[in-house]
Amino acid sequence: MPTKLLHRRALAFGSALFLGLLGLGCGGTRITGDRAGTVNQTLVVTPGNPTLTAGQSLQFQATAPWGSGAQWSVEPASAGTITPGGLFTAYGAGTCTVLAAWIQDVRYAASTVVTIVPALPQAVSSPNYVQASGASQATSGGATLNYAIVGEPTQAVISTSATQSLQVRHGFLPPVPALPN
Amino acid sequence: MKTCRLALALGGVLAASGWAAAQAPAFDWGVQTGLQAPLQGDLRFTTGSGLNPELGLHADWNASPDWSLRTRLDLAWFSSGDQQSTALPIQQAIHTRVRNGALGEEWLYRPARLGGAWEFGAGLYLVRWTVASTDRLQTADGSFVASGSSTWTRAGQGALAGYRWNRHLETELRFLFSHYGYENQPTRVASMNVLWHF
Repeated sequence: MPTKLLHRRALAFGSALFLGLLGLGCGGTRITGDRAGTVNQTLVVTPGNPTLTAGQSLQFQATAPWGSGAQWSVEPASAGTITPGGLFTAYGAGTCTVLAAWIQDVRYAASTVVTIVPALPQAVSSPNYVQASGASQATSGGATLNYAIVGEPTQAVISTSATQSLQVRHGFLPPVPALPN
Repeated sequence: MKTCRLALALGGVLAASGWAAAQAPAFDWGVQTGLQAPLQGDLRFTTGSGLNPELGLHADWNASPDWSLRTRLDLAWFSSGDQQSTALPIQQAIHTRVRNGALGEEWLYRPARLGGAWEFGAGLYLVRWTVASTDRLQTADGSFVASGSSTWTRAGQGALAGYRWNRHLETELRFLFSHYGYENQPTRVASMNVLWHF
């Protein structure tokens, strides 16, 4: 191949590559912000500082200006568990910290504090037993008992139904203990 | 006397380099290696200001004794860096390793009045940045360590000056301007390379 032709082809190839690089070059958007590495500045975890009941689950989201998704952790680990997708399940009462590191660049991190309250008592209807605040207790059948239910965590709710029968809702944490006859 | 020696040395170098440039074939290729350092910005903050190795390949099309077109690929490894934040309630320690690969095209001009050995150029590059990080978050109740790697491709612009000692050996000082990271932080890297033309 003649040298001049080789030179022309080389120049044409180089020029095309040069222009291609120029055209491809403008990647990314300049975002004014902190450098990667300041907790809760760029990455945001939602919902923030929630309150949950023990046993309850909550879906967290970690969002950065460029996308979402995170590596998750709960500290202390005894407070709950969180899936790779951010679904948190609370174990017991107390507070814990949910930590997130952005999945596309772990230098961006965020956290939120979760407050866990005790589980609400499970309501149990028990027409034969009445838990009253005083010593006087009655059954819906009219009999009078002096029976205290030991260990009931919350005060029973007493109401009268349309049939005038006394309805009592006892509160126990599951599993409900067997009621004596 | 000293000035005379310097002038003679310079004259000899210029003459030799002129001869070398005249002998350069229309096409040649080679390898280069050297040291580079980030000059400012987040990259310097992340990796420190030390010297780091660089390695690459190049191909030159010598369109004339004055002008050349250089296609080059350079790989650079930056020293790892640590950032720590002790702000409560969460303390953070980030360990970062950065490297890049740059594919570029450079226009080189060798002024005949300088003997054809000095060259000055400008380049455009595509720079592939890779950042591998380990982020350790410490709370009062425990710690969490996350690891990952991120990559970005950004444009780069360069300016360089070089000196061709003979047909095979060349040294260059090159500045590369680019951006990296999701926040598109500006990077400026200076490198001093030795090029060997086969």
